[in-house]
Amino acid sequence: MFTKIDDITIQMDFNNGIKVHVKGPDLFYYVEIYEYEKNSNVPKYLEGHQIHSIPMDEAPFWKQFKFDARFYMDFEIRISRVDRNEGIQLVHTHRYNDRGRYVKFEIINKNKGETELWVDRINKYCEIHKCIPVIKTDFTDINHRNKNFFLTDGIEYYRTYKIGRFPKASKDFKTMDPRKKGFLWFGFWKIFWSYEHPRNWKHLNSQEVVDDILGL
Amino acid sequence: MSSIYGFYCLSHSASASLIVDGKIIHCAEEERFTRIKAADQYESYPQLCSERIEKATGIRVKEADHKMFALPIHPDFGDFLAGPNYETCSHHTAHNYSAYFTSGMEGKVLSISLDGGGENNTSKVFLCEDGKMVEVKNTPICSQGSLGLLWAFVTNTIRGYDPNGNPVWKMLKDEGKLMGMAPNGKYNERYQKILKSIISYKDFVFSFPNTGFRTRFVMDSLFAQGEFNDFENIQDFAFNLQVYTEEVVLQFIDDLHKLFSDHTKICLSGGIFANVKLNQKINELPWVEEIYITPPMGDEGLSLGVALKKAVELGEIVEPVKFENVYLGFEYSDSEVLKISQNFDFTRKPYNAEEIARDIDAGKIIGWFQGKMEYGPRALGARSILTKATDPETHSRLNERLFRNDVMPFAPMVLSEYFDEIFTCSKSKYAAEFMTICYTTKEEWIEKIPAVIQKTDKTARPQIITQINNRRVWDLMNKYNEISNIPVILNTSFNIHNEPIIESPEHAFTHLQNKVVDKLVIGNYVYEN
Repeated sequence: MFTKIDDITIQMDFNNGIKVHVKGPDLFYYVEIYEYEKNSNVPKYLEGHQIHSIPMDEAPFWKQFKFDARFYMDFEIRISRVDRNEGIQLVHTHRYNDRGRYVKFEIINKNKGETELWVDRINKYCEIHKCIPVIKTDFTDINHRNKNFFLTDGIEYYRTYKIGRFPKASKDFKTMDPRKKGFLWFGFWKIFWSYEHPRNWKHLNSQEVVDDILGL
Repeated sequence: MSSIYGFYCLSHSASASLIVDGKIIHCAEEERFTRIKAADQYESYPQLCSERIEKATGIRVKEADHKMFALPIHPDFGDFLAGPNYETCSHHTAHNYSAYFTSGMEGKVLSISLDGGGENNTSKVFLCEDGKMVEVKNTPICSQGSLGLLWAFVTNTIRGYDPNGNPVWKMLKDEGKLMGMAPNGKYNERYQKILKSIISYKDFVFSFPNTGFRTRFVMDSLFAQGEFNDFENIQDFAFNLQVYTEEVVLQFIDDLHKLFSDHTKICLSGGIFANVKLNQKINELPWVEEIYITPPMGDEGLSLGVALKKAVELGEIVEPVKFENVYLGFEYSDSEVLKISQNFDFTRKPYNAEEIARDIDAGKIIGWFQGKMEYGPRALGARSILTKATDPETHSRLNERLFRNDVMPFAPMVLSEYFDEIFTCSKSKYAAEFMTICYTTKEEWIEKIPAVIQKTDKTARPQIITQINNRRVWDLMNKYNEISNIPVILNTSFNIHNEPIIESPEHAFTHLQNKVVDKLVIGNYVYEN
């Protein structure tokens, strides 16, 4: 997803976590992510850092803004630059909004009954968000039931959700090191179990697993 | 009898303290033993200083009645040092205990801590009275800005990076250099706007979160645009940073005063209050009766704070005490010193105050090693370098000897009887015993003691010397005053650039051997090359 503001090009991608690239006349840009919790209009700061001005296809990972949460969040991206007379100036904000946009749901589950249940919950999500779903499962008949299944060529997905029970990965470095008690934490980043799950799925029933991921 | 060990680890400025039966016995910082200043931005643990306290007192950490850690803590280290039975205490609560319970203040007291961030907060405020403390405010770091991080990241970026990508000035070490150069700069509206866009303050809220990264973003961007190629701009930025910090903190304190107007005495702790110019502004607020800054105001003071908290809980300390001095390290007997001196080739003769006073008057640079080492960042006459304050060339001469390039003026020791004659404000003299506050110098003294006065704003950071807080320095200064008619001498820390203040006679002898000092007074003897 590209946005152009004057001579600044912003590219945002929400398909494998959240990634932002900025290309413009300044050497650095500052990208922040905020979250709107349910029934709250006050954004909570999650994380922010400066990135180099560089387009996506040339950007090594350390020059991108990356926020790895893959479950649903009502987030807002804010992009700023430094004006040498005024200091930090906001140039663009983008609040998560998948209405009328293609959203991909990948169900990773070998159990057909549970997959059916999760598809129902995906449909519930789409009803609320008014987005266009593309659902992929391990079951051909379920896939073919979705009219958008074969329309995927050239589609730009606004967001991709992977739905399943994912073990905690070693790269989940943002999970707070429990050995360090009282360690500094800048922002409201959560002590979550995995990038794919807001909570540990071992303590949830089948519907809660999918509802947790989709924020239902 | 109860023994309480207090510790602070995991971050810079690790330290250990021991309180026995409500009496502060020892406090020491790890950097004095590792010889790495402020741990060079790495995590540090109070291992060597704890061992030294154990050796000096015979009280083993694991056998102590209470083991307390100020947060944050690495529990593996807690177990390693203290065994499984230790307690923890909030970072900023420990800061405030270290301030209020050493302030000696009576009546209603406002205790404020403010730093870059410790545990979950950048600040806590307590209302204190009759040895009771009630928390009334805190500033969560996850959602609010941090003035300490603003200073840390400006320090880390303003002089750029060396070819290896390391900052030329380092955070947690070189903030004093920024403050020291500030008076040489000038007001700049543009810099004020820039600083305000990084962090702003209103109604007890410091906006915006993640000040560290915001600051780095601004500084790197300005640096890339060549803003700091000109040294004058660096000085101007430092000036504006100082002015803006004062504006924000004074507003914060004024807002507190509106809520708690009967609390007119203030205790301060946390790294922000290492800023002696800021402390001067607070002291000069008309409604402020007295301020006190705990001498180990940074995180090195947390081990004491957390031990004091336990002592208060146990009823062993019931009201604020006053430090007679902060000589809480370890001392060496004359025979120990003599044995160490045999590794060097020096002449030795008995100490004579008048002779040293004459040496000072002649412009000699004297290494001064007496009794126990100071606790906290200031050398206060136990591990000091002394010389005369009357020569304007002293600044460059000392910098050359100590391999320093500081722009900060050196600090004066002042005989208490003459303090009001030399400085304009007479409030908060107890704080001035620990060199934690600046005062404006009276016009007639500026030319007399130029080596210890900031030329632009005419301030100095005096240490008041009394018969009680340091009898030997008091005697020496009286002798010097008889000779020169100047009740002031220059005091700077006994260390060279980038080195922690010395701890042991070996360190002192090495500096004498390397001609950092002309003479060395240790205990009852004077050593010379």
